[in-house]
Amino acid sequence: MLRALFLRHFISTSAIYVNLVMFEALEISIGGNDAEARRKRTIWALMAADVRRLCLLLEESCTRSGGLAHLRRFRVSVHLSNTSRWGCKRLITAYSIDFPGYASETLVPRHQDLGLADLPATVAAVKNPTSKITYDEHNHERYPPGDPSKRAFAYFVLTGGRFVYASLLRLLILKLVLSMSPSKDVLALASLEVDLSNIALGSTVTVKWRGKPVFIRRRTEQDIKLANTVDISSLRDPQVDADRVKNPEWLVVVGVCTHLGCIPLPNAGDFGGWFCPCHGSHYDISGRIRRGPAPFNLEVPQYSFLDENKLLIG
Amino acid sequence: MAAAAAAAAATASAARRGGGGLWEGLYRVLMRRNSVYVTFIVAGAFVGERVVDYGVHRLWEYNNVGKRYEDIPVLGQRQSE
Repeated sequence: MLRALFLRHFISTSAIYVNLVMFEALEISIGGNDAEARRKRTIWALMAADVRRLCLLLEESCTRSGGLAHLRRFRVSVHLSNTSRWGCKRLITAYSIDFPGYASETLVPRHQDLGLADLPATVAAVKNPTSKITYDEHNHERYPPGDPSKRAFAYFVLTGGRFVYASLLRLLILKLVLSMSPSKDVLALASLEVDLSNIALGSTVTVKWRGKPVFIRRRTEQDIKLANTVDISSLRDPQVDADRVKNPEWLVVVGVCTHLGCIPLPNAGDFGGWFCPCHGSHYDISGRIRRGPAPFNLEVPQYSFLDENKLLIG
Repeated sequence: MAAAAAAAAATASAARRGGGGLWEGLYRVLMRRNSVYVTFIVAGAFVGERVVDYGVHRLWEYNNVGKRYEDIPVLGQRQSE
């Protein structure tokens, strides 16, 4: 049984850089007593002896020079023997040099054993990539290599965050765009155009004008007659219907109760008009107060007819 | 003890593979193309906003039981024409 290191080497006398690579040991057993086997064993032994001598030399020079500062550099060139004669196709060696005084284990691969003491550790690390990476598992454990990763789960967690960001983006866009709509002071003096073509006879439509509801009622003949057959002197706020409308077919009044400001309900009350549910004021079909605590008739805003079917309020 | 630990590890890795399959499947469906992913995010934001609104609304009402306008017994109105 030979414990063999099968690399050929030579030592050049000039001082160049060493790249002693670390591998695993290989046990080679060459049995048999024929000439071939004996030859093989001799050669293996010579090789092993050579490498051991080389490493002893390195150690010696290291201790002699008292440290890494003046480590003599040797060139080790490696030949791969790929033929089947040697019974092994891969290059494997094993020898590690333990330098005195460097017993602590660190995470960073120390490259001092390669004799690069004058380079900073970062440069040495860049120039000498190694596959033997040590990870710091003090805070977080590492999945062993080959484990299925948690990539999909992690991505979905991030997607949850992105839901929130999308919602925020929508909000920002809305705020920015709607900030360009008219401001309150502009709306306070605004006019409103109303399309009258869709209002059926006898029905009431409520529109928002300057923040207040405005009732637009298309009155029937019956309503107009009812509005005119009232004794004006009996009214709390006497007003003739003709004074309150420009066109008797269209009644336009502000839908705010003159008592305390509630909004009267249409088609309610005893007089065929509006009824305020807050304190029970009854308005008739012309918007005049008939019963209840309200002092005045419903206010008639300034309005005009732009054409047959369009009303401009304000 | 060692056998139990080994069994636990085996089931954990098996569960991970089984449970991980769901996430991996969704990944394969949703995260291959960016267009699909962005659509998923927009839809998810919409749905999520509605869910959050509903949840907060319910929480508010739970915290303010009986104080809403709708909780007042119906006001009497005379509806006559």
